[in-house]
Amino acid sequence: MLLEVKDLTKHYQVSRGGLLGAKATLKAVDGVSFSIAEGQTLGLVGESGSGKSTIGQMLLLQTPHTRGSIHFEGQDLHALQRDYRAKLMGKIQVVFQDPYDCLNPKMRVGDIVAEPLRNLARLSAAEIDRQVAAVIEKVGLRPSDLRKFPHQFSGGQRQRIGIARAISVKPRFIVMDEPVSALDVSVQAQVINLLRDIQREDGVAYLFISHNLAVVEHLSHRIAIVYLGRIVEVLDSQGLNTAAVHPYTLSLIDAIPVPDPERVRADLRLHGEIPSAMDLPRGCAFQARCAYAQDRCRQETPALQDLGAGHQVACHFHTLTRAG
Amino acid sequence: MQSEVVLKVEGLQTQFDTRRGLVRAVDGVDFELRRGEVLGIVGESGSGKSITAFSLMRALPGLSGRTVGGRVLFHGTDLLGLPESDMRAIRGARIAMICQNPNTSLNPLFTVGEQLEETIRFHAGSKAQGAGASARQRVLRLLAEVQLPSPEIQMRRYPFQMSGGMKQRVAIAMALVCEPEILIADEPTTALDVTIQAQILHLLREVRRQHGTSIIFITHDLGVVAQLCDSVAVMYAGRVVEYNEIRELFRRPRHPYTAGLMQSNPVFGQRQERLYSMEGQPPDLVSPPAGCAFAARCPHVQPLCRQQTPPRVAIDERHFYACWRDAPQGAAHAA
Amino acid sequence: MVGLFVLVGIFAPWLSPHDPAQQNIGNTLMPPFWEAGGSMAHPLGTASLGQDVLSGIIYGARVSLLVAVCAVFLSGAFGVTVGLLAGFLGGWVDSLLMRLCDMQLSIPFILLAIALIGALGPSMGNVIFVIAITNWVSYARVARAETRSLRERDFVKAARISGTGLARLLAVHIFPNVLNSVVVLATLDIGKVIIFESGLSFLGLGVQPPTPSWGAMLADGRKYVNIAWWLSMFPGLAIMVVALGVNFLGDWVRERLDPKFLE
Repeated sequence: MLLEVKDLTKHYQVSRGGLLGAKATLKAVDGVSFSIAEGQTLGLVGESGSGKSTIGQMLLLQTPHTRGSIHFEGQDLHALQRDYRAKLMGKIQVVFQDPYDCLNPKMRVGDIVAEPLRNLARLSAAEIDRQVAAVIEKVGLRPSDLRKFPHQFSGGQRQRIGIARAISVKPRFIVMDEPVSALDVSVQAQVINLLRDIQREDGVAYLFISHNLAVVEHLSHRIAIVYLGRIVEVLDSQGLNTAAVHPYTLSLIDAIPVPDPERVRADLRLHGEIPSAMDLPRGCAFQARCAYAQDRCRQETPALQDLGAGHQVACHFHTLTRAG
Repeated sequence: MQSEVVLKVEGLQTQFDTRRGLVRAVDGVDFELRRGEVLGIVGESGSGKSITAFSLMRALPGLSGRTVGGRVLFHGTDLLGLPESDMRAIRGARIAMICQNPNTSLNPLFTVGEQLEETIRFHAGSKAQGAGASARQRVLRLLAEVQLPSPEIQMRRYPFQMSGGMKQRVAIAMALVCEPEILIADEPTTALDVTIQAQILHLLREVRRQHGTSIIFITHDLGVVAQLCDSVAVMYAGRVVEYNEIRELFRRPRHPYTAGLMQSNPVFGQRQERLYSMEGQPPDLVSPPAGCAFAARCPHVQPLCRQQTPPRVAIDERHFYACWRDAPQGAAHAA
Repeated sequence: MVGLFVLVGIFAPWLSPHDPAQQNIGNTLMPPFWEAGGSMAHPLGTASLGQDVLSGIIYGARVSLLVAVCAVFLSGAFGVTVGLLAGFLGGWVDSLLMRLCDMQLSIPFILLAIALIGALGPSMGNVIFVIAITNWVSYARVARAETRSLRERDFVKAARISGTGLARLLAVHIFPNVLNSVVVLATLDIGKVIIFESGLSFLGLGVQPPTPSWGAMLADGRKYVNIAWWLSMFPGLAIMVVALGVNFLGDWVRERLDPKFLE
C-alpha cells in the first residue's frame, strides 16, 4: 500500500457565542481510515460539511491533525524530521479546484511549473528547463506558452498548468481537490482524460476529492463516501451503481439528475438539510435524514464492516436498503 | 394541449463596450415560452445565457451593456420598448428572477422575515392580496411554501445563519411574492450540494404545478435540464444553435455542439474507457470568426461553415437548429 | 504634469537662468516680468536678497522631488517588510509588530520632527530620515492586510506544498501581489511628503539656505507678503500643482493596475 491512513481526526474547538463563550467541538473529520495502492485512484465523495477537503489538507500536512496516523511508503508522516519531510513532499503533490486562483498572476508559466523542481531537485538550470518543456507538452500545451502569464490562458488551460506543476517532480501521489468542478463540461472531459493518461503512463496514485459522483465514478478505482466527517461506505467504482447499500450513498445516487427526460424522478428520497458537524448526535451521523433509522442508530455509532470484495459499509441495517 | 404564449423573444442582441472592443454577448436569440412551461437555456461560460436573462429583465450588469436588437414580447408588448417606469411594474412582480448566488439577493443586515415583508409591502400596490391577510401571515405562508421547516423560527433568522440551500429557498420565496407569471432562474443550483439541488428542483416543479408559473431555467447541467425542463435552447457564442422539445432533443440532437455536449458529459452508471471530448475552446467574442462560431471545433465542418453563418433549419413550426449540414443549398439568409 | 516637474528638476542647472543662491543686492524684490519694475531677466521676480524666484522654483523642484522619492522609498521599504512579516507569520510576531505600529502612530509628527532635527541638525538627509521614520506605518498596515488575504490563496498553498521556503514565498509570491496596492499608496504619498517637506522647511527645520526649497521660499516670502506677493505665490503654486499632479498620477496608476486582473 502506498498510503495508509488510520483514524485520522480533526476537531476544532469553537466558541458557541453568547456572553460566556461556551466551547463546542466541531468534529470536521472523525476517525477516518483508508488506504490507496500504487497507481490507483481513490475517489472521496461528499457534500459540504463532509470534511473531504480537510482530509486532503491533512494528507498534505497543511492542516495539523488532532489524532490518527498517515503512513506513506511505510513511513509515518507525522514522525518525520522537517527536512526529511521536505524530501518526501516531492512525492506528494496537489492540484487545486480554482484554476483562476492556483497560479501566481505575477509569475510566468515556466517559472510556476519549474518551482517544485527548483525547490526539491538538485538539477542544473538547463536540465530543469528541459524537464519543464517536456511536462508542459505532456499536458497539451506548447513550450512557447512557458513565457506567458496566467491571465493569457483559459480556465481549462490554467488547470493544465497546475497539473504540469504537480507532475513536474514525478510524484507518487497527488491530492486533487475538486480539480474539474470549476470547468465547463467540454473542458472537463479534456482534463479528466488527461489525468487518466498521466496515471496510465506514470503510475501516479490519486486522491480524487469531489462531490460529483459521475466524474468520480469515471476516474476512480475505488470510492469512499464521506458524511459529516466519517466514511460511511467504501467500494469499487465499478459496483457503485449496483452494489452500494448505505442509505446516504443511495440518496446521493438518487439525487443525481439523469440526463434522460424519459426517466424523471418525481419524488424526493432525501429531505432535510445537512446538519452541522458541531452538534453531532449520539449514534449514526445520518440518523436524522435516514429512511431506515431505528433506535439502535440513535444509540450506537455504526463501525465500518467488511462485506467482502473490498466493500465496507457503516450502517446497522444495510441489508434492508436494497431489499424491495 | 397548447397553452398561450406568454413570452416570445425574437432576434435578441446585446453588446458590451469593453476595453478590448465590442463584445457581442448575445447575438441572435429566439425562443417562446408558454404558460406553465419550463424552458431550459443551456450553455457553457461565455455562451451568453445569463446575459440573455438580464436582457429580458432589462437589468444588464454594469454600465457598458446595451440591448441593441430584437424584440421581447410579453403578452404581445415589446418589453424593450417600454419606458422604465412601466418596466419597473413588471420587473419583480410579473417577471421575477433568482440568481446563482443567493447572497446577492439577500441583505445580510436584515432578517429574512423583514426582507420578505418589505418586498410584500413594496409590491402591495400592484396586486391585490387576499382580504384581511396581513403581511406577516403571508411571509409565513411563503416560507412554508418553499418548504422551509419551522417558518416562524426561520423568519427571525439572518441570512448568514442559513445554509446555501435555505437561502436559495428564501430567494425563491421573495420572487414568488407577487405570484409572477415568469420566473427566471439563473443557475440557482450550481453552487448547491447535489441532494439540496434535488430538493430545489422538486420545489420548482411544485411551484409550476401550483401556480402555473412559467420558468426559464439557465444552467450548464444537462442532467438538470432533462429532469426539469419541457423545452431547451442550447446557446453557443451568443446564439441559440438548437431549440427543441426536451425529449426530441435528447433522442436526436441535431446540432453538433449539442451532440458533443451530451457525449462529453460523464453519466453516472455508464462508466466509459475514455470520455469523448470536443477539441478547442469557445471563440473570442470580441473578434468572432466569420461563419459558424462552432466551425473550429466541429467534427462535421465543411468549407461553407467557415464562410457564412448557418441559417436556421426548422424542425417543426416552433423549433429549429442552425447548421449547414442539412440546410438546403443556396438558402443563405443569415439567422 | 508630474513628468514635467521631474524633468525640470533633473535639468535644473541647464534650465535655470541664474544660480538661485546668487544674491544680487542691487535687484532686490523685483516683481515678475509682467508688472512695472520687472524684467525678463528675472521673469518671476526676485527675493529679499536678489535671488531669482524662477531659479528658486526650478532648483526647489529638485529638492522636493528628491526628498519625496527617497522618503517614500525608505518608508515604503521598511513598512512593507514589517507588514509582510506580520501578515504572513501571524501570532506573536504579528502582535509585536502591530504594537510597534501603534507606538509609532501615537507620536505626533511635528514633535518628532522637531526633536530629531534638533538633535541631528537640519539637512536634506535628515529630513528624508525624519519623514521616513514617521510615515512607514500606513505601508505596514496595507501590506499586512493584503498579505493576510494572499496567504490563503491557492497558489501560495501550492508553493508551500512544493517546498518553497519562507523567504522565497514572501519575495516571489506575496510581495509582487502586494505591490499593486503599495504602489498606489506610494504615488499618493509623494504628494503628501512634498507638503511635509515644505512644512519642515517652512519651519526652518528642512534644507538650509543657500539650497533653495519651496517651503523655505514660502517662509521667506511670509515677511513680504504685502509688498512682494510673488515670493509666496509661486512656490505655493508649485507645491499645489505637483501635489495635485501626483494625486492624478496615483489615480491613473491604480486604474491601470486593477482592471487588468479583473478583466
